[in-house]
Amino acid sequence: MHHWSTHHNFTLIMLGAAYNLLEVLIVLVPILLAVAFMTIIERKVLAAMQRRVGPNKVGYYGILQPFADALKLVVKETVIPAQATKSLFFLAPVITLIFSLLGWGVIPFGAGLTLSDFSLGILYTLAISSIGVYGVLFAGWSANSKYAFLGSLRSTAQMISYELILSSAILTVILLSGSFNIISIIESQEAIWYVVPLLPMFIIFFISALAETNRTPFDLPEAESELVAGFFTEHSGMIFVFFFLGEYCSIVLMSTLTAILFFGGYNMPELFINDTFINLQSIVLGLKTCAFCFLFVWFRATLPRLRYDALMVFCWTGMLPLAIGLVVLVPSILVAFDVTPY
Amino acid sequence: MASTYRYLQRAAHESPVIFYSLVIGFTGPLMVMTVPPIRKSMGWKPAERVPTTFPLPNRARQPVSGYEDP
Repeated sequence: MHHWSTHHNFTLIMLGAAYNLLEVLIVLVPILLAVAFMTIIERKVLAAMQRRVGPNKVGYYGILQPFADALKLVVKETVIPAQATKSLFFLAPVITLIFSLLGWGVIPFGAGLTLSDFSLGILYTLAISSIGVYGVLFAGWSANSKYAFLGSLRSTAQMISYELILSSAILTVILLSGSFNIISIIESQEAIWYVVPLLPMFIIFFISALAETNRTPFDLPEAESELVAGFFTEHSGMIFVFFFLGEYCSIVLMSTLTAILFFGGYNMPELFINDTFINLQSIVLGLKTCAFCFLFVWFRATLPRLRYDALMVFCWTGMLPLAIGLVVLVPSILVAFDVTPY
Repeated sequence: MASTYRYLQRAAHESPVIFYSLVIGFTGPLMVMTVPPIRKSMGWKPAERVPTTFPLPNRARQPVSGYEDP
């Protein structure tokens, strides 16, 4: 009897683990596909904005281009510099990818449809995105190349500086909704999207999201003319794919966060009763995310790169005072008109 | 007074970001101090505080001794 029950418990535990793994895969596989398609979206949109065709040979409309690229990079030789610190050299891309994927753990794709309905979800997101800096730092240091090192120093300084502004923008959202939980934040936007009362904060948030993901006009770490390719100059083949995936993954994640924090996430007006098994809420979130992914590419097609000192001055003397002023103003309005949500 | 105005005008011109950030930042506390009295004068009553404890019973307290449970 006793033997049977231990065996039974073990089976149950393994089943639970398999179920959890399946859940994680159900989220991560579509996310990785979305990241792959983000690259083709970027190339196609950039091409259209520059009056070119863009990739159009692989699959219909060039739709399979990301998979061809991935295949090419996977079979390429991985060249490791002789003087590199090999452990960190391999660890850095893994850190970057894993920490940008971990951010998806608390993203809700529908009412309650999330891997973890964590009560401090938004703090978790901020913490995970901060740790992502280490990947960049390790990559630049371990490669033992001046281009990679300078690129990683620039990138780290930039990400740490703009994180302040990102956090203060998120702080006003937390003040308005009175919760750290992402689902509560979405549900509190049923009456009105936070982009309306917090429009200046939304603009500040999106600018710092561009800087956090090292996108144009803040793509100094990748300034080709000065630094070859920035912190991943020496990375090639498979480990380069990890950096690439991590970078685009954080772009999609930032777009999703923008949609969630300022545009009501998966919420939509209930125009009709949805009798089907199709989860329209996830589709709504996806469409909102696509709009911001497009905005990321649009910025890249429009704006030239800033000089590095201009970038830092813009952050510390331009955006930070404004963000602090607004962080004081928003709760003051809530207290003055007695409309605090807590 | 005129010199203060001139100073502010100059500050707004020379470093507009700092100036207007300070304006935005100081508007908040100013509102906290001025808005509730104005609302009160126009007939607004602050909402009652949400109770955080049970109300005390309106009678003398009965001294407890021994084990009272039946």
